[in-house]
Amino acid sequence: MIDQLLGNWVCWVILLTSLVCYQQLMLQFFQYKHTNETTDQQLCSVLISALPLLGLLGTIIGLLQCFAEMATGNIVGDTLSGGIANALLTTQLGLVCAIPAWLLQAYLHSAQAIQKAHSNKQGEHYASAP
Amino acid sequence: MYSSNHTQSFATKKTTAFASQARALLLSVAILGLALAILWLGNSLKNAPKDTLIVRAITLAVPPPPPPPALEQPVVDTPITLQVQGAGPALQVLNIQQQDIKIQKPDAPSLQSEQPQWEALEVNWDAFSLDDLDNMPTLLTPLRITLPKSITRQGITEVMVAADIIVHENGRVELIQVTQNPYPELKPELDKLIRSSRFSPPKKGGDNVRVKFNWPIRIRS
Repeated sequence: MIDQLLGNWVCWVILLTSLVCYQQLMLQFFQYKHTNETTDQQLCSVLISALPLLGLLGTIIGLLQCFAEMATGNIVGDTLSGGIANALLTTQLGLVCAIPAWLLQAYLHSAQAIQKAHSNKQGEHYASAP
Repeated sequence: MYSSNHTQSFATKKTTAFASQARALLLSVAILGLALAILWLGNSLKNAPKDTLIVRAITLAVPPPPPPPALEQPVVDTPITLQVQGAGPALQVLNIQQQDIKIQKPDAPSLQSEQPQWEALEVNWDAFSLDDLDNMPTLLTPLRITLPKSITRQGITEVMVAADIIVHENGRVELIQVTQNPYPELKPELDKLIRSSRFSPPKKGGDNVRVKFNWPIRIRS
């Protein structure tokens, strides 16, 4: 499996994208924890959504290669099955990398929403104080 | 004064941001490693060989029967050499003179055999004769006999036969022998006639006795 991951450029793209996504999410989490400031999360949302799509792209590329080799007639049943399995591996990798990012992003959103509601309540309290 | 404080604050912020980025990078690498570990674990469990129970049919191999023992004894081709000390036992040669032996012919024994005295076997019938009886027994049954066709075809109409019979105490007739019968083919009919005949009980001194006599029978067609 490791050889398949290292030999496919789509997998490298997925891994780097997920790494950048995780780091951005962690930075937002630390920034929110220390300063209680919310930043723009548009970039993280786009990267998280791109992870499954990148996996799907790798699957499509692998299937196209398999079918192209089938057309030439130089492929047998076992090779075709292995090629399809390699192609589907990118989709699996994209989903596995996207799921933790989604969970982190959901946690960050909920924490920020709670903090925002709490700060609004304090502002109203100070505003109504004599 | 303000400038130095500002410079220190900027450096602190820069350090804090760098530390935050480093921690974020480490955590992101850890999360990515965790995700890859989950992926690898899933593939390993999927491709792990399953424990399969293989039941193999075992056939007991019967060992072949031992070969029969050799019937022939091993023949040793090596010659046997016996080494005996000395010249062997000494044989004494005896000179025996043959003498003429005369044997006398024995006398033939004379056997004297006696001529056997054959006696005629006579059956003691323990019966009286007709002369001893008080009166003559009378025939109670009718005499019916059919001459065979071989006899009647010859034109013979009368045959005279006779037989020795015994009349028992109750009048029953027993045939001893047929004394006169010119036609042997008549013998079965004659036996049948005598067997079915009945006489009056012969009496002597008032008692029933057995009587033996020759019974002549004349047969007419």
